[in-house]
Amino acid sequence: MTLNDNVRIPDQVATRKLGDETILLNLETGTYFGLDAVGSRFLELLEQNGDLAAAHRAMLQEFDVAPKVLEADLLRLSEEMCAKGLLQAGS
Amino acid sequence: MIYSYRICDLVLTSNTVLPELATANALGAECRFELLPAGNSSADDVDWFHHWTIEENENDEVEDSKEPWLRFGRTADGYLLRFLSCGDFVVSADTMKIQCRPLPGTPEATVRHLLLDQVIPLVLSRRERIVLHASAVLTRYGVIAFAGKSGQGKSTLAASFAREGCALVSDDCLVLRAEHGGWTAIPSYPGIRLWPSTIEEILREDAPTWDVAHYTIKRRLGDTNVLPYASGPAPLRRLFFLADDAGEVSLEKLLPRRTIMALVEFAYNLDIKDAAFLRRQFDTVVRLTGEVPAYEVHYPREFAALPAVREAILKHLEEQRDLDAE
Repeated sequence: MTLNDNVRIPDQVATRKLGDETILLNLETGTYFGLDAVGSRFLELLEQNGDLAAAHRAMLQEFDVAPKVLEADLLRLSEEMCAKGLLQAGS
Repeated sequence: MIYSYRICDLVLTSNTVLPELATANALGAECRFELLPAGNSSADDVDWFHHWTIEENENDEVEDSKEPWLRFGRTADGYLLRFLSCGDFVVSADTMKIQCRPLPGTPEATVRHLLLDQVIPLVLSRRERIVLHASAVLTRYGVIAFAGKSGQGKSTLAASFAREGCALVSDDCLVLRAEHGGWTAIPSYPGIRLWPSTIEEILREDAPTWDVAHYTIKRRLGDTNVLPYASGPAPLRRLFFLADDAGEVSLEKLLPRRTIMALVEFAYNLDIKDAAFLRRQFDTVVRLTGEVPAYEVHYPREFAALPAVREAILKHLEEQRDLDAE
């Protein structure tokens, strides 16, 4: 996976925000997944258009983090969520 | 002969005596239990979709056995719950009817235990907003619930509070309802299941006890003169999740996502493949998490530590009293 990829939240995934955290549930597998405030912001940005590069750019403006570190973190999280069926590659 | 009982606010009729339960008026019966003659398991066209493997052993430890001990199956008419060493429970799709065909030689006490402490909680999970695998007691601040894995000490902690005068609300099946702008805990049925060593240490007196099931040395204690039992529903004030054995007593506030994960882990669910149900349950645990504070309790697993655990919890509730009232 690279920042050039697009991802989307599949239809079978429900999300709920509680405070600044987000919980996702894959209704097909019953898998739950929790995101902290930073992860929640990432998901919020992905919900807009699924553009990983755009999310990366936006978060660089909002958080004090090196571009490469953020890229690695976002791609790792995206891959983990894809593996759990909580994100899907493609627009 | 048909008998009528109440368990967790459910009126249950039965063709066999269930001495653990309080009697009720059969007019409001919402569920019918029928004990069939013993026989070997047989069922065609079962879609086996889930199983449980976690068991407690006699040393109060948890072991993850390789073999399932309960299998969940879907049939044309509802669900089949197969306790591999004890027998089958058939639950109708509308959960109005439960039938049990025990394997030959399964004692009646075991059948009753499986019905009351395994099958009914699963049935209630289809009827109620949420049913937790948790013990609970009524303190002067309201109901506090203790959720945790089997063998982590839920019943022991609840019995310890009950011995100090806090009425038992549940041993391990806690029904919660969203009512009156908060959450109400519904008492399950009088009684608690404890290890003999716990009875000896906490009660320190000869109390009448009964067999729970033939595969455990736990004893059932149902005398409300020994351990008081809640007379009715009461507001839920706190959720406490029991952490692993720790060196000292401490309470740690849980973040929402950890609370939600924990609630889901300890919620009964008859059909984990039912997406509509999962969505409803998701909304319920999110709401519960937002409205009832949750903490993780760390403490040494020794009887001598129980007074300090009680004290820490009650002190916390006293300190938070004003916030809870808002």
